[in-house]
Amino acid sequence: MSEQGIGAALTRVEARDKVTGAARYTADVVLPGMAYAALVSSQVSAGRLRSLDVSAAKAAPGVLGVFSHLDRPTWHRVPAIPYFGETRMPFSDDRIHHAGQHIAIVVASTRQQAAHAAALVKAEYEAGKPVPTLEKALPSAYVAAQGNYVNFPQETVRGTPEEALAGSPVRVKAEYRTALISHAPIEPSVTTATWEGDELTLYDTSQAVVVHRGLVATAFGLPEDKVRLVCPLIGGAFGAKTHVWGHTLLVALAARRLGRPVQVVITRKQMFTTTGHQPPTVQRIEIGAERDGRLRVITHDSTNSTSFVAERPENTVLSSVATYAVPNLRTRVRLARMNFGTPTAMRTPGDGPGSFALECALDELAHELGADPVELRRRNHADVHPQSGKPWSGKNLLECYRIGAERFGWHRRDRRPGTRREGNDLIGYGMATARRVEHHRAAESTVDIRTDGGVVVRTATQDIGGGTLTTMIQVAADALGVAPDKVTITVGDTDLPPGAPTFGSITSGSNGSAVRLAAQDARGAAIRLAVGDKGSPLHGLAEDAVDVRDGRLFAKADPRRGETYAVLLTRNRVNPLRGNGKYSPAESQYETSTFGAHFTEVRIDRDLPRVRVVRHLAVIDCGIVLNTKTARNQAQGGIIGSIGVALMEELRQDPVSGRALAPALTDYHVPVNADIGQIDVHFVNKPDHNSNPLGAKGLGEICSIGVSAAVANAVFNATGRRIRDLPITPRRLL
Amino acid sequence: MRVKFTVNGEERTADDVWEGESLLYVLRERLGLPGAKNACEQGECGSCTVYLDDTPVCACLVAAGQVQDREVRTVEGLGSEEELDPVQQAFIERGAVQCGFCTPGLIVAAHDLIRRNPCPKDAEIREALAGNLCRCTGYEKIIDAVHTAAAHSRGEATS
Amino acid sequence: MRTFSYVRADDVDAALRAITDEPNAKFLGGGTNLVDLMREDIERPDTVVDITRLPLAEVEELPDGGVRIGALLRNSHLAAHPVIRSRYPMVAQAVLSGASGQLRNMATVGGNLMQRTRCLYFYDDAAACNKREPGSGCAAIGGFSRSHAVLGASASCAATHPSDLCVALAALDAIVELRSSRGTRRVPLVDFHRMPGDTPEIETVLADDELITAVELPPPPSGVSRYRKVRDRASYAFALVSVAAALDVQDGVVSSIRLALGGVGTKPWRAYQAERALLGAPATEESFRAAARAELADAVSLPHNEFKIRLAESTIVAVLRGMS
Repeated sequence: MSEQGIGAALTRVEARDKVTGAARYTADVVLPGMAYAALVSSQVSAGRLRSLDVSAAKAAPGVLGVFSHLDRPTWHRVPAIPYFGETRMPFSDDRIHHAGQHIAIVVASTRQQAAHAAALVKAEYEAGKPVPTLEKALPSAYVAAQGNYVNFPQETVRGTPEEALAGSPVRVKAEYRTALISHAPIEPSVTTATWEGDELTLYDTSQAVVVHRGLVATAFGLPEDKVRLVCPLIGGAFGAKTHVWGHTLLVALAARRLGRPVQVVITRKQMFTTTGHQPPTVQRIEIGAERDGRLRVITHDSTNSTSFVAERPENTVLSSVATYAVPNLRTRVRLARMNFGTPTAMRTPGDGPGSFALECALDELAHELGADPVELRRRNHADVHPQSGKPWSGKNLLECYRIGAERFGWHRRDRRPGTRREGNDLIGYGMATARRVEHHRAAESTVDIRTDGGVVVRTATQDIGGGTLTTMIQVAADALGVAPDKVTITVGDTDLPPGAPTFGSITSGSNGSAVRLAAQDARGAAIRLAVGDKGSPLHGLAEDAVDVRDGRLFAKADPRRGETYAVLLTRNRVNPLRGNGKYSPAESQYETSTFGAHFTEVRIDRDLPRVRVVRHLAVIDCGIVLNTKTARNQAQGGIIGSIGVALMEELRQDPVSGRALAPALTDYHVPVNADIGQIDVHFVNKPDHNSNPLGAKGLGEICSIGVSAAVANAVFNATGRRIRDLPITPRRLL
Repeated sequence: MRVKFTVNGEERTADDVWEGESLLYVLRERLGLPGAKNACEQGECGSCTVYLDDTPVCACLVAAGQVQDREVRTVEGLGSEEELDPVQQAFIERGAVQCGFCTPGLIVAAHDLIRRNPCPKDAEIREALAGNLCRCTGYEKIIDAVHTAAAHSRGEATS
Repeated sequence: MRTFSYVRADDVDAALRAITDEPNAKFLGGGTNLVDLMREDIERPDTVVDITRLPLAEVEELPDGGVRIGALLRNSHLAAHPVIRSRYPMVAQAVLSGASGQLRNMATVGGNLMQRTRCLYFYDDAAACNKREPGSGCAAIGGFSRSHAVLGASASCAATHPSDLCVALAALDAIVELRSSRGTRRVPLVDFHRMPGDTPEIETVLADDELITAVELPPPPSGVSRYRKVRDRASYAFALVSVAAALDVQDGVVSSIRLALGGVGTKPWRAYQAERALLGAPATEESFRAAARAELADAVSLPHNEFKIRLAESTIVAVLRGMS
């Protein structure tokens, strides 16, 4: 841990505002003359609008305008996918692709008036015959052609998988299913749009203000610099705010038509139906192994649902491609279209459902072999990337296994299922590996040192709750040699240097690198200024003979000789001294991933079989940890989220219409406080400088990958019942 | 209709209130108090928890007319500029805050728990706060924070 | 939400006048259910009569050893009341197993009796639902039926009654006191809720102009009592199955038994058949199981709720075993 910042358990800089109610989120933005919008949703899941009667809504008190496909909005172009949700622009025709689809937007003077008038819009449908569920869509599943969302190999072959299977002394084969699940962030999506002439400003709950600006500009045919996106704080996202969805464009459209600012807070129902979800998957895995547990072959065939207005495959099979050393492999991903909203990235796309299938299958293999599950994984450790053969930039997975097994007390596990009991409880232990590709993104930042010794970081990333504001401050403080409390940060505004999106676990590594480079640039400039300044006690020294600590530059050889940034800059009348940082990920000789191991203990009442996770330990290798306090908290959250995925989360559909049934937090169960046992997180905490200049890697997702498999494996150990369908509800265990 | 009630110790009046408005709407949109959050509008998530006559309720399910002549206390009314409430302080210290959207409601619910039960056990905290969904999820740290705040309220030093 | 007018009643007579005089009026208690349903456009009153300030929030001990609970007592106060906790622990347990702290602080005893189902199709305004739109059909019966009733369902409706408190009240032979301008009447809780039949929209025997003023509990049954709820998560979820039981065993034989079920019936389900099977039987696991099976013999499952029959059986057995 650095005394100057990196790794310190620094308290979140915005925490005080969040506990006093002073923090301002997007829905708290109030602009002069602002009107309020409500969106009208389709009730049917397929077909077309026969008629749309908006007369009652238009006549309702306070209503300023009602817009729909009848107004024929002229979109300039469909923005690029990914990051724009769908191939169809909202209101572009009368066709209905899913229930909940926006069919009209009502704007009124108050939020209540808008909601009231929205209920008065009368739609008549020519209902089509929907494909309601993945189950019904499966017969027409297909392999999608590359393009848009389809940006990874849909089929992979390594070696000679069929022959390897035929020659394998031990084989396991099973089908796993994951459920349709929803991000359900506590903050609903919000957009406020305001135009000044041809310039658009959007206050939007966006996980990527810079990327989204470009998409919005494309939709309206504006140059990028005519669009400004602002989003400093987000009340949770988990992927739901990764893409631009229809409501954002519709509010901008309405604001332009009405010539005044318009805000929409979408309803909880619309959160479930119009801002994406993780699609259900059906995955078939077959593994062939030697008797000593060495893997010979894996085949992994995965199908997920997608909508009729986007083709989005879940990269579940990457788990099989990139986790273990296996010489033969065949994977295939297929899509099956159903009449439901478009799926999107959700913590953790691909690897969440993919690791569930693969890590359960390995547990089945371990059981078949009578082998210890940890030992089986060690034996198949991938020393280099199994597909590309490139070395890893940094990998400490074996250490994760070792530390995890030791701390958890894995040796107490009885490999015979159903043998450990306490009172009426069955007790089981399970584990799984976590692995995720580390993504990189270009990012820029400036770091200003001011004459008062204060430092300002400016970068257009955003804090969705993970602690980005705080960790970026720590990175700057560390590189500059100042105390973190001297540093403030401004984020979430496209007027700032373009920062990284806050999704895909790329903020720490990529944006952190940009901030570090900017701070180093500023520090270097300050040192150059000092050694070249006759008035400075450091005058004439070589640049590398100067160090900085606590805001004071000093001679390494004689620490008494020196001066502070403040004194230096004041004397030279430089205010501020700006450092620029531009991180551009380069083609690398390495493969970069994050790793981890999950260990979990479940208890299950024999009569009333609700699974309780009483203890969970994760050991995570994500490079250097920027802030142990925010990191631990974020990791615990990722684990708890995935315990929800394992045990309760499922957005249920009507089997006839495909509609989401009562899409509300009442029925879409997420874990409550009472569901949670003891959650421990341990970080390997070794920097990975081959990955990026900072040596830090993403945490937001690796912490949750493998958790659902560890839980399912523990359930098997407790009961002898192999549950291959998520979530593992009491019904499945009866 | 006109609704007159006390908010954080101050008498406030809202005019032209539509009968269908909730207490949450009046607080956020009419009285400029956005601390309580609008997240589910069906009493499920607890983000809008405020005290109504000293009892925590979901402000989104209280009809505006029902608060006439009553007392409301929101997260903005706990602690002061100079000194935060021990619960607020503990949430900061223990890192119980992530995205912060559930936090105002949780602070009020935890504040009430400690008043009623100065020495709550883990299981009691988990059950008492079950009506405050947190998705980020700070549940583990929230429990630590409640213990810390409770100890502080009892006058004990904490590490 | 539709436009409506709001009337506050300061005494019972004013409330009864308002409910009669105002067109299409509804009483507003804690609001936890009614306000939500109005926002969902499922309840559409033209007037709401706020009764939360009526003086009906007391718990009174009765000379016969029973208690009288005011209908506007908040659920959290009911669960915390010393008399309820000591003499009717099953009631306190049932209340505390429902909803959340905030909702229990708002919800009233009378409102709990009037709580409407959480059937997913009842809440889905695009689906056919005989309860919401009489005569429109039932999308649940051919749809996703995991949460639905296995006891008391009809071809029109299989929605479960959602209350926990009412299950305990059913087991305890509670009496509901109803008042209108025509006078006062007393209805046993087990007769207060109606089976759906072909009019599932009519859920109780309460007349349009009647107000629930109190719930009376007779003296508690002998022996021990318990409320146990099985749900999909540890707290804050509707019951898959719940069991309210009061059991007394003398010399190894069941001398007194009260049993009611939640989560499986279209109304709070008093398990009379199980009680008949148990009374006088040896207090053994075999008797408990036989009694549970007797009660569930008439259970009818839909495609996704067959598990409830097995779960109800094992819950009844587990609860009685734990008490004997």
